[in-house]
Amino acid sequence: MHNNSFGHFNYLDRHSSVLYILTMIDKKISSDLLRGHTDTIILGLLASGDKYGYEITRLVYEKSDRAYELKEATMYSSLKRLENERHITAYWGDETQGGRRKYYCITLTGRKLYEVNKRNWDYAKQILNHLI
Amino acid sequence: MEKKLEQHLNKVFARYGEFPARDDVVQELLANLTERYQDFKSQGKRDNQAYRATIDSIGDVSEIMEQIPHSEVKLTSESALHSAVSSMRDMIGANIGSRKFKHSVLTKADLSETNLTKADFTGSALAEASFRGSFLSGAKLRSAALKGANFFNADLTNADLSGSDLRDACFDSSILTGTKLKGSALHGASFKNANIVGTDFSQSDLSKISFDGQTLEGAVFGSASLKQTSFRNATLRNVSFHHAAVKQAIFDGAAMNKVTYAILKGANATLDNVTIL
Repeated sequence: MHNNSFGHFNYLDRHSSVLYILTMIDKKISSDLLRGHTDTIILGLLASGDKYGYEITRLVYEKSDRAYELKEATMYSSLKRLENERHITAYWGDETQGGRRKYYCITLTGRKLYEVNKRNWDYAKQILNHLI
Repeated sequence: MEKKLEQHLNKVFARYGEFPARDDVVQELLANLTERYQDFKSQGKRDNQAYRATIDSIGDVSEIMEQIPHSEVKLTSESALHSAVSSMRDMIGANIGSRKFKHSVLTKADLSETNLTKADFTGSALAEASFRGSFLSGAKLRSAALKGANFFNADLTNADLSGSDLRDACFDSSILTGTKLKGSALHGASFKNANIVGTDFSQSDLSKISFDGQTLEGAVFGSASLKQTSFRNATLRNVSFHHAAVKQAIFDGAAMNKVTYAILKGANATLDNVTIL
């Protein structure tokens, strides 16, 4: 298993200040809080089928009710990290017209990581609900 | 448009030189950005707006480079610095935060809309350079030649511009929260709609400068020269004028809190038409 499988526990350490979260309630949700979960968000989207970069950005925007705009660099670095750790693989699409698209496909370890991260998040959420 | 976006990406990645995955990265990002641009267009944005929004959506490419093997270009040798600087001249929208540009010659350089957070320009020649809309929070611009420089709409929070030549510089609509402008030549500089909170103007020459109608909070004018400096209809809260030459400053129609009033009264300022808050 990967060392960072339980990465979301760090989340509690980093944001242990309850005040921090409270001051961030805004229409455009603080990206800091969400950014730590970019890998999991992307894995979740790829779990339902292969997707290319901009498609991921757009889905994140739509599924968050237009509250979270993932920066290109944030998304791309997440894709590269997941690819380096073999949680996803990439292949070029065969578009005949327009720019070629690079698609990402979740691997078996990627799916496992997603499940672990999701469980960790549910657990963290529970604790936070008690604390806040 | 794709070409313009590609040029922008090439500029953004220029400081990383050549690295194996470069073409792959740029091609993929370009495809994403092009589609995003088209999306913005179909939402009714004009070309320029759509381009701006697209560039804005890139974020910080150094995040990407943390995941990609490359040899970081270090700007240590003078020749490397010069080439970086020349490729920087028109680096609109680039992200070059925390970089060191000490003693650089960047006269008339276009550094607008650029992330220059904590950049170090100490002692640089930057006359007539444009920093329009740039992020300069925590930047060092000490002892720099900045005559006629343009800081319109720039964020200069906690930036240090002490000891610089800032004559005829434009600070209109800029954020000057905690900005140090100590011992600077500011003759002819303009501060319209600037956000002046805790700004330090001590020991500077502010003669004939206008702060008309503005709100100044916690600003420091210690030992500053204020000959015919105008604060007409301005609001002054907790502004310090310790040892400043205020006799010839103009406070007509200004509003100020008691502390500020007492300080000015003690320094023999003309306060005939002043409201105390």
